[in-house]
Amino acid sequence: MPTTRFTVSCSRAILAAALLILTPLISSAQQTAPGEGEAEVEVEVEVEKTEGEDGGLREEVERQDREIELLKEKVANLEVKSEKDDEDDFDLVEGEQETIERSLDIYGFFDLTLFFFDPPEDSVVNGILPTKLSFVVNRLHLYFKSQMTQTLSALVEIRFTFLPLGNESTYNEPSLFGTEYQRTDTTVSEHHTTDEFRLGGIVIERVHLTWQPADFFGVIAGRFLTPFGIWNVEHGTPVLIPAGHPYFMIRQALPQAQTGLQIFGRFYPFDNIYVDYAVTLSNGRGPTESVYDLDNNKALGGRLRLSYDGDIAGVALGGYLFWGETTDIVKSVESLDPFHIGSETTVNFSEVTGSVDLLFRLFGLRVQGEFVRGIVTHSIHNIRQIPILEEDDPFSAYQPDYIKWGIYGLIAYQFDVRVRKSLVFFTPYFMAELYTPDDTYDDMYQNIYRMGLNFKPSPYVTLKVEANRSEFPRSDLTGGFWAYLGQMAVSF
Amino acid sequence: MNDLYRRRVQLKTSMNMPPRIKDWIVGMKGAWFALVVVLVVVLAVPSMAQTESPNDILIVVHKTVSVNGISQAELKNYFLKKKTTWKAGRRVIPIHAPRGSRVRKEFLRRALSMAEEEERIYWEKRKIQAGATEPVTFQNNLKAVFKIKGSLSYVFRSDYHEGVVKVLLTLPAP
Repeated sequence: MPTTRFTVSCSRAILAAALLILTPLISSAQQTAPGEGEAEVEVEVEVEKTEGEDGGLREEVERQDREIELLKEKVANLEVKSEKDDEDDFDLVEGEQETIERSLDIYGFFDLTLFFFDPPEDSVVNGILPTKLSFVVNRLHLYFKSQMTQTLSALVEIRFTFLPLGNESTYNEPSLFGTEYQRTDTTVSEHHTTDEFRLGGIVIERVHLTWQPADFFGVIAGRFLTPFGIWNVEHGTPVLIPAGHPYFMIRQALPQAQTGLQIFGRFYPFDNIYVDYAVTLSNGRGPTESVYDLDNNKALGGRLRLSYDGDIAGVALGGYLFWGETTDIVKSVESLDPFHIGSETTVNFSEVTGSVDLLFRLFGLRVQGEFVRGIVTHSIHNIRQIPILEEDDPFSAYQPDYIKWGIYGLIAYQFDVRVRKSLVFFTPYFMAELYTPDDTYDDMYQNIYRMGLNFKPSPYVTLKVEANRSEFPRSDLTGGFWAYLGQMAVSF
Repeated sequence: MNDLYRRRVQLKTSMNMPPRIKDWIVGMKGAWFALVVVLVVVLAVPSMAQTESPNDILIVVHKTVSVNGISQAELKNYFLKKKTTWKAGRRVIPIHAPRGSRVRKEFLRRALSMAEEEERIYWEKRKIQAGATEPVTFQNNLKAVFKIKGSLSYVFRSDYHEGVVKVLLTLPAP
């Protein structure tokens, strides 16, 4: 096939262009970094020796020698000083057994909440919850963390509260219950000044020793947070996205904390993929579980969580299963001679409760949910109690076996905004929750819908505004109501 | 080869193409070859021109650490304390440069994909959740790595001193 002049010209033009482009590129690629491989250049300098300058040069050289000696002495002094400073900095850190982490850290968080509950006038909730716009410092938690060695640490978390101030134990009801209104007042008076102040309360949230010789194995002994779900692990108001806790947490579908032992660990099958496990052995639940057990049966729990945690996206799926027995007793003096105190079991039930949690993250999007379900089986039935009030239900007989279950879903999106030189974060969220603490008690079946905004102007301060709607679709005692919350959570 | 090439071009150009265009395509075979060479070299040249930048971040460890390299995912795990032991079993001691320093900001961005505020929020959260302790900070973190067994930190290439510590990974300057 004939080759035309045009095609030949094109070929030559392209080859010429190739040479023009390639030549500077190849030469720049062959340029070396500054300071590397520079060719040595020999420079010959002719020094002209002149008569009469020998003496002057010799003096100059001697002067410079003296200066050099002085400088050497100064440098040696500086080196010694610098080494001494280094020894001060690292004096405590050399050696395999020493730890460079501080021996005791003290830190904490608190929150100030402004709340307003707005139930209907005829709702039973109207008489139970405070219905006036109020401020409250709801939580003040102090942490004491000590890293004794590289494998041994202790953690204490204490909550300070103004409770039991304001706790309403009974209401005026002369005809049926024969009770009078009682509200706890913790006011006391100082003896020598008559100065009055109110006492508060202390709650020991957790106190435990942790020994962790390896990532895959550790032991916790003491009182620890039950390792289930997302909410119970996140735990503190500066960390949680919404202003309020889910109802199933408040009603303790699973115990929030246990006293006993926990074995835990983490495996790393691949980059960014983690497998976490935990096994718990404790007193379980009971009216005195944090100080002594009322039966010999210990509660067992097991946790497994698989997660992928990348820079852009993450997903985690976990579960926890809890089996325990709860007992309550009454003690009586059964005889005076010989003196004998006997105990009678008044409540005994076992429960098997499981939870599943799922977390999904993509850029700023966060979707999380938890499902919990438990079966409670009685061997000794107590008188049925009204939930929340914890009073015997006068219209019921004995507590039947029941199922408790709950589920929530939360969706939130975190926006990052740079204000001057700082990053601030806005997180609008929506959460829906269904929970019933006792499926034989229709009045307690509750739906809650929350929507709000979480604003973080600083890593240490979180501001939240939230409106939530509670519905009791199966109750004749109350209709739904709105609640409004504003919260400032501070970590320090 | 020319015959084979011509036959291939003939096959590809046999579908209702005017003869002048077919001739042009076949005649341009030299030009096509030159064009392909230009494209390959233009794409390859940047990789030939690898220069070390003083703003590269070198991940350094104490000389007794037995590993010879780590991935960026492992590096992130160590500094966020999601993993706390080297493969050989010794405890990892991550060490940060002073807060607010340029090397620390660059390290957070390149290794942890975090701004300073995000790192701060992460540790506030971990402290509340689990009582975690964030990595310690030293004014001279290179000297700290030199002295502390099992330690891990980072420096700009311009601040690195050969033979003092071991380099496991390089995070190149953008």
